[in-house]
Amino acid sequence: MTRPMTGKGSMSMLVILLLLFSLLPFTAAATGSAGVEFSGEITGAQGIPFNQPTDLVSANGRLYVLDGLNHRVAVFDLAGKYLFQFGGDFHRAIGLCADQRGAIYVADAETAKVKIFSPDGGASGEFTASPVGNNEKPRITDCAVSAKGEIFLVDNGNHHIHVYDRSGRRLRWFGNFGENNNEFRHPATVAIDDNGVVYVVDVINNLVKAFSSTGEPLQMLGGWGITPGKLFRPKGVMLIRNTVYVSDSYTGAVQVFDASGAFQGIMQRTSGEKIRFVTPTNMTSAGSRFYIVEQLKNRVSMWRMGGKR
Amino acid sequence: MRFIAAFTTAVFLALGSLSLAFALEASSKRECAVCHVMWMDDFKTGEETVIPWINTNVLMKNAYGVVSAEEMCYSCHDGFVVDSRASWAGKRHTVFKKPSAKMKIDESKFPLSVKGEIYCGTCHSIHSGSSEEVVSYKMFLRMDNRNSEMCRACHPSYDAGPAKGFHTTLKEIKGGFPESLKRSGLRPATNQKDVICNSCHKVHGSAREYLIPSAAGVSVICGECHLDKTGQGPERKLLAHKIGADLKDIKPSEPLKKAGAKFEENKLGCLSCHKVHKGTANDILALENRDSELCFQCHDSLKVVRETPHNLAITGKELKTAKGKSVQEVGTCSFCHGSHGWAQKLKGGEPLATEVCASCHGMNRKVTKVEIKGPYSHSLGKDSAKLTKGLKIELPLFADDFGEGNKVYCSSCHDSHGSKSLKLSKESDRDERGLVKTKFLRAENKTDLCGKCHLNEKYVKGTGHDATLFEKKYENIRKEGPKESGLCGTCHLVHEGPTPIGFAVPLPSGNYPAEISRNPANLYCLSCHEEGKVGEKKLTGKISHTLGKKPKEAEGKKKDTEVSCASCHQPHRWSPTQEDFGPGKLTDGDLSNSFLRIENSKGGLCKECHKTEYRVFQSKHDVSEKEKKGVCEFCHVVHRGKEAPLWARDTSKFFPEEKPKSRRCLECHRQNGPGEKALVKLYRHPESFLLADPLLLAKGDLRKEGKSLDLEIHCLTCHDPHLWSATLLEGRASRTLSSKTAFLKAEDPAKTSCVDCHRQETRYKYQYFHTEKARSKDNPYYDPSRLIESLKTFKTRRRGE
Repeated sequence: MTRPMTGKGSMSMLVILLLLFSLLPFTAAATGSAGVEFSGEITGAQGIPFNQPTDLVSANGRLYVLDGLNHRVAVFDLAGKYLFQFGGDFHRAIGLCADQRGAIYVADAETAKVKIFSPDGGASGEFTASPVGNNEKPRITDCAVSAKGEIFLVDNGNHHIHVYDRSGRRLRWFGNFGENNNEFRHPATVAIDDNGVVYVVDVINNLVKAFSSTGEPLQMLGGWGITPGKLFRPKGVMLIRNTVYVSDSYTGAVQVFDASGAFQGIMQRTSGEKIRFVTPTNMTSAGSRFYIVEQLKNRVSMWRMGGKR
Repeated sequence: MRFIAAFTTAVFLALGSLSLAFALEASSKRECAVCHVMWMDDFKTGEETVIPWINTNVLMKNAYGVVSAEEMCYSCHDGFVVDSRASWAGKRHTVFKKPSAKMKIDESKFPLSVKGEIYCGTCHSIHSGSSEEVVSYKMFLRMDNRNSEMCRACHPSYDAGPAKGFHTTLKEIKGGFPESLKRSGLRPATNQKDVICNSCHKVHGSAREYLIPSAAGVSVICGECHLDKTGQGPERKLLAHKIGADLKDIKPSEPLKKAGAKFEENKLGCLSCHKVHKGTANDILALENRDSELCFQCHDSLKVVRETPHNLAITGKELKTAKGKSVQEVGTCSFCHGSHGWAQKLKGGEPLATEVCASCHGMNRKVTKVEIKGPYSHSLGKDSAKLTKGLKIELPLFADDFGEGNKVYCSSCHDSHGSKSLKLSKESDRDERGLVKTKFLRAENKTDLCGKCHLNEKYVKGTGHDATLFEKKYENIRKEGPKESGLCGTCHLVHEGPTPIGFAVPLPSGNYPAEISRNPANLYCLSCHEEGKVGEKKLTGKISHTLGKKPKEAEGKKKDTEVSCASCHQPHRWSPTQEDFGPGKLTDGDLSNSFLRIENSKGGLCKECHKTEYRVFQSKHDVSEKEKKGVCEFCHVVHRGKEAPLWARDTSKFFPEEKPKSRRCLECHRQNGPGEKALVKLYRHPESFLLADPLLLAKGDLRKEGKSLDLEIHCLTCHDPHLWSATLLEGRASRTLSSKTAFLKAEDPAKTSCVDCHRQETRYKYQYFHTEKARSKDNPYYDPSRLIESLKTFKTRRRGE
């Protein structure tokens, strides 16, 4: 899932980021002149190793990691130093996101509850996503909050995208089961860019689909295949300005597309070596730092653009 | 279920109408390549691919293709299509290892990898049947496993049943399948009743080895169905092996460990004895338990029980357990310690700590030849802290339920296995059967054993109450001398005693007044301290301290208890202050020993009941320092008094003509007497004015005390020899003599009976009674008319007018 910079001071950092990324993207794209270097890993918190973490977000100058089967959110500084944790009572939560004010949202896949926390982990509210029509209870695997404060929830079980306000009122929904550009086969994660374009990873259709905030299909990225620019098991999507990063949990690659959907390259080291992560899922960035969940490896690996520290 | 459906929608719906047979052949069709990634045409184009092509035979048979590698399964089961993360979270069925040589796997049904190893595809296949079958019950397994058919297909011997040493399968679980196990991901057979492999084992995502889902251990799973066998059931709590108990000093034998017994975290579990698969026949134990051999693998030190009368294979061949089993059938240990609870019938209603012994030795529950009879035995279930003063003692103490506690029960004194007591026995102490003669005591001799709790009483050794020092031959009611009975046993029987303290001495033969004989504590002393008995040298005499009355000034419980010998004496300790044995010989005592409860040289013992009299302490009548005697002792003796009240000497020889109450004062207050400094030349009141009228005597505070209501005027009419001052709480010898001191009973003479006759003269006469002037007409207060008037009144009242 894309993690746009949020919270206080994020705008100024975003400006810096935009400048940096316009010059030094994570991928070499066609040039291969830049890349990233491994700078460390986070494997647990408070002496308890991660147990299949699924998602993470940088907000409030911190890194929030959803530690899957430990049912908690572990919080670190951007260098990976443990700060605190909260939760502990989630029910198979898979996705989390942050809004513009730095509030943290955790989506409980099993209960369809969206729990809202303050930046310091204090519970500040919750609501439950309701099924559409006679559908089964939503199985929420991810969330994203638009600049307007609308909360987009991925209903992986019913192949929908729900849009809620913070009070728990559903504003609209879109998507159904299928292969068309307005349909999904197991949507997994979601990200929203600065223009309000909604990117949804459609796992079994092997696509990342872009929609307007009202659900109008705009374009599709990737497609079935094993060659560069194609996707096999897309899972996570991250947006940095006009660049779309898509992780593939089977091939281990993070592929990069521009806003038009054109393939730009595969994330690589500064040496030009293409990186194969282990079961990569969600990603986030902060400044020149890049973080990615390697789910089955039970870690978050940390990378630096250009290998600079 | 929905997750399963989700996956099949990803695959089966894509498969559409493709036949199963078609799907098994290499195809680059997307439906197939969703998993069979290496079949993709992209690898054939020569273009760059994100992952390299791997040349493997992707058909399942004898193959290990990337299609069934963990990463492929997880790429959908990671939560983003189906959430099977829990299956990756814990232990799982062995994979990527070759099956053991003993296993016979039908590879036509359950293929191994090219390396001959078990892999995911050995059990799982998406092509195992119709989509409906796969979704509804096959769970992508190669065959229906709802009743563990697939488990048993590879592990056929595990289905052999208890007769061949395997846990029951496909048998109904009494009480139904526990919900708690369902919550752990376990399940019964399709009939919802029978136990199957998956009732105990969770193939993916188990917390522990052996695919056990409970993080708390295997025994927790066992206990869900076998609660009564874990020692947690309501009926036999703590009488079974304690599951989860720390092994502490128990060291299981190597043969037991080699046999597969488990002691996780050095704690006892069900698998410490049982081997659920490949165990012994019927009992599914790790080792055969013939004649308790399994028990001795951990309890080797208890093997000695076979050499004791508790080896019932010798001493109780005819006896049976509650289930009617003989010792030959169940073994020495299990005859009492049933597999999972006490083997003998428990009557109930008493603490378990008593019941276990009483199940064989109890009254009216005669199972063995050793039956505890008689009305009184050592008390059970009492907190030892009072006796031991809170000190930790060497003997084991118990709770009512036989767990660890602070109470004394049978097993506090008896070591029923003999592991301790037999070490103390001699080889010669064996009976004709070769068994050691033992009473299973936890100490070498009874005296030592008693002394471990009875810290005060053990000091009887070496005192005049130590029967080994008696001059006369002594036997208790069992005709046992001190050698046979032990020191404590000369007076006490631990079992079958005739009285609550198990008093073993024949009771006194003399006739004693009711106030003495009604209290056993007096009789216990008189049993020996009677003419002709071993204690005849220490008799109380005719004039002895009162018995059978409640002390007026005692406090607490003593206040309501009649005075007995035991009020002042405790018979086990020669000196109340010295924590040691007695002098080792018969000796006369003094106020610092003599079995007194409190050291009495300063009158501390007397003070407990005679608080008022104890005000004599440090008064002029306290001659203890000068005479080198106790505070009370110069005047009083408790036993063998010379005259009442417990007077130490016969005073009649000094002033035989005087009344006794004056005579005892004059004994000292005479020329050359110890009290000659307070000599009184005039001390008698004129005879004609003796107090004789009860009506007059009924008046005034002083007379209510009743101490001088003998209708005579004597020293004690005005004086109380114990009270230096009527108002001071304690005597002060240095105080100036005045009407407030001088042992006068009343500070204010108006409160005395003197005022009845003497009216306004009273104060003068009271204060100067012993002077000539007070008695003459020179008395400044002398008023004949008032005196005459008073006498008239006196006589009138006397006549009753």
